[in-house]
Amino acid sequence: MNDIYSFSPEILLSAGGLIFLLLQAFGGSRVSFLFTGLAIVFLLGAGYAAFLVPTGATMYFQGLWVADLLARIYKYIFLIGSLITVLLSSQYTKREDSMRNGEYYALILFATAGMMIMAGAQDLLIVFLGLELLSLSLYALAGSIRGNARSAEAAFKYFILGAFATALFLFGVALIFGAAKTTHLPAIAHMMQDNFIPSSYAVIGTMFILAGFAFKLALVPFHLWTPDVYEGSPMPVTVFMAAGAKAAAFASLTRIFLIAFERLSGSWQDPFWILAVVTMSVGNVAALVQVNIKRMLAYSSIAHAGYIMAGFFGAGKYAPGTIAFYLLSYTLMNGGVFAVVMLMAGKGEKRVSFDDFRGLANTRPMMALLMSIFLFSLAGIPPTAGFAAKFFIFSYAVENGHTALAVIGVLNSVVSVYYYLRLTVNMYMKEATPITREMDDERVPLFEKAALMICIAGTLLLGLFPVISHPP
Amino acid sequence: MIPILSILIFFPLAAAVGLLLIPTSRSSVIRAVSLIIAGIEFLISLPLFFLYDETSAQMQFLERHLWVPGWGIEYHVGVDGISVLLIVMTTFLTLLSVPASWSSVEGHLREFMATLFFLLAGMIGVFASLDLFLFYVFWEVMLAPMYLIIGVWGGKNRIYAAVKFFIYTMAGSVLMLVGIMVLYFEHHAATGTYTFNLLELYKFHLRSDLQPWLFLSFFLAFAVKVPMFPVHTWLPDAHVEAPTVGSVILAGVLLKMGTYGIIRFAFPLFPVGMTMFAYPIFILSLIGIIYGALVAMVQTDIKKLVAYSSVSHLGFCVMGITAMTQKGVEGGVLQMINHGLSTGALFLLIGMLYERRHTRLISEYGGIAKVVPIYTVVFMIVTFSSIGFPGLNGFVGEFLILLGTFEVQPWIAAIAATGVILSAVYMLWMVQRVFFGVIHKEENRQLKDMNLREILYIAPIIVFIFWIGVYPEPFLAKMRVSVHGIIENICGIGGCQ
Repeated sequence: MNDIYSFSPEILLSAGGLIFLLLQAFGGSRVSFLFTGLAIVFLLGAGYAAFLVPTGATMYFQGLWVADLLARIYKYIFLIGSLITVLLSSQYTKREDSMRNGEYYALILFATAGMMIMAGAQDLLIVFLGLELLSLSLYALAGSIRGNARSAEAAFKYFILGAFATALFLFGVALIFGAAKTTHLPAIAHMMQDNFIPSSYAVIGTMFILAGFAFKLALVPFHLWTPDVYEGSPMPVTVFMAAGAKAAAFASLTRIFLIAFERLSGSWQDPFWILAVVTMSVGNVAALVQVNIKRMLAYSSIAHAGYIMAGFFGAGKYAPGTIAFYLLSYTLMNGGVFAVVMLMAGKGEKRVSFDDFRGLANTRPMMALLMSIFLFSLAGIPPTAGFAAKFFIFSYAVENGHTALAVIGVLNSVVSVYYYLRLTVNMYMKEATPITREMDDERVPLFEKAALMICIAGTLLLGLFPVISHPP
Repeated sequence: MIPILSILIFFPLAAAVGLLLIPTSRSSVIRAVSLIIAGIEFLISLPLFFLYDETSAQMQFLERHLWVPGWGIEYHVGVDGISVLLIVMTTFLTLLSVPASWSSVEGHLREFMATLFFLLAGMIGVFASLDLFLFYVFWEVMLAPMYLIIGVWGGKNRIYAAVKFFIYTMAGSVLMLVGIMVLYFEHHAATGTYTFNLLELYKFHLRSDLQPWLFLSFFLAFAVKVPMFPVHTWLPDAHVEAPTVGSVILAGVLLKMGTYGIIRFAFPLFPVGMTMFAYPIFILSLIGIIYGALVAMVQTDIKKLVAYSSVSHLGFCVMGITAMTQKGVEGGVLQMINHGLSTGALFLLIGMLYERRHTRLISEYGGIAKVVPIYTVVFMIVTFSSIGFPGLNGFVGEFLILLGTFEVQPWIAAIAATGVILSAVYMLWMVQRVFFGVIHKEENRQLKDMNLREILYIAPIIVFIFWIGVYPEPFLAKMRVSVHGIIENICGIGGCQ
């Protein structure tokens, strides 16, 4: 019974998803006004359930699943990301005619459940289970603007490449199984005694697992799908992918590499280092030349994944916490940026280039201010959450002797300032065009306002009062 | 004990938010309120000056609260003789900038004032911070408001200048961030404590092989800010494109943060590094003095001329500080104040001219002394102050610096003294071309002299120019014991030349 009880948030979300499917099938458009509110209820309920599940090292389902503090923190992060997504979806789905359906919300809830499964998994096959649940939902969500070529392209690209990546992951799991005779993470960790020399199966298997995750996280050079998929997907889904899917993948990466494979760190830290540096640099440099805000944010997303990779060089039991903190900050600030872009973009997302934001400070000063704070947070300028997150992650790298990584990381932050700043230049220092003046009349609806408030409060509060109150 | 420093930091922030709530149409209300805010801020800073205990080298007006306990990050602020002078100068210049901006800021006055007050909070925070993390936060926080001031309210090429300012300065600073991290963990490895507390870290002797690197990482950030040759290239653009008040604050206060950082952080934390790089720093300051002066000589835009003169004058400051003698450092700190006053006044005066004729080219003027006599007199006084003419403030600072440097590096001091001559050359030549001679542009005949408001906001600076020039003792006395303490701490450990 305890097993089911520990799984209650996920069960609640899955049940919610099924209910949405039923509502859509039997109620159709007559009940569509309920959808956003109902989704929020389920998410909050899952949050409460996650709160009730006692944290501890107890293994559930014969050791396949755990509900420790790390899992709970990640579940909250996923729920915040999903909440922001759902809040932003309210107006978005009303605006796009082809998106008013319950399946959309069902997929979001299923995806969130998948993320949570990944966060609590103690067995590689359970990781796969969560990963697939998440990924398949995301493939469908990417394509949910029916009849739109971009959206269909995004879904198709994501699906084909994602399936390939999952296959790589699975192949890695199979190799690990061949080497270790088990896929249970604690058992694998236990096998790595002192003087442990991994067999070639184990090493290759680990690398395949890393490759599979590298795709999901959009690390360079596995990132080529990201700009197109982020650009083509409906914006709330992009927020969801950028924040939640990343967080889930990093949660699993933490469990597998940082915790279970800790003794192998001599082997995997080198590829992580290269991935981190290349990802940061390529992401930032590519973002410099973008003229479409969504693509710029996609590349910025890639760059941030690179920064988070630096978190894997921290040692000790607080290192996973720093990564989680960064992901929380990222969820909030990225959610905020996309929220503003989405609200200003208009029907059909027609106003998403840099030029469309000219003079926004004159027409919508509050939006421009919020956008600036989010951009400064992404760039890592105090006193925002983005700065605190980067500070803690790079500090850990420095503490463990990887000062070069920290230097590269902060220099990359300076490069990133250029493209974030470019948007503020357009907003504050250029004249409004007729296009920007169109945005003048659109009032911000209640749910979206709530999303913006969550994001700005989080960005500023986490920056002023960073909750990492444990020693480095 | 009243937390004066926290009030000084957070009052402008709260006031800025309040200011933004006033409707844009009530422009006279906005002007009045901003003047009152700046006035209150200045008045609050005065007790800091008068109640400061000159006999103690300890940090005073201390406030200390835990911020992120597990990491040893604290909200820790306090002042010594040097920071007291700088903070009062900051509030003073801001107070004078407010009436100046009433006529020079075109559009969005309310937002400009709010941005100025955000900047003010950041600046005081930098001067008061005693926790390295807090210091870095305030240091970076200043970037955004200054960037907006240049970029929104500046001249034709303002976007280029603003972005250049931001990225250039930030690039210099981020390496300091890594330096702070390394220092933090090295301290922990040696003592077992996690702390960013500056006073604790002063006592820590970092291993000698790391000191050069960390010293450079800190020094680079400050060298960009000063600005020292060769990382000075952001300054001319920033100054020329910034609005009048922006230049006043930039030159008057922001540049001082570079020199302040050197004496507060770079030198005391890494004395071995300081000793290693002292001679190159002397050379670079010297180059800054001479090169800055020579380039200033050939400028056609008055503001750019003054910008390069800043490079030259602050070269003196850095030189005096690096000498690590009582006179040298006192001179360096006093000259920081003097430069803030005289260059601030210069920019205010140039702004007055620009508001009337909308040009800053020397060639557009000529012989205007006949038309604007009061303005000419004031400009001449400030010019002489800037040159370092005896009897005025600039002389005291430069003389102390040269004396102090001569004790340890006679040749450097001797060559630097020629910089004084050069500054006379470029300033007087500019003055001669602008004010004296024949009026060859007819528009200049219509120039209006200084009105009452302008006289009122320039006059206080003139008062101080004379006061510090004739009787600098009250100001020197404030910093004397603190400077002595700093030199003792540094030279005791690293050994000075």
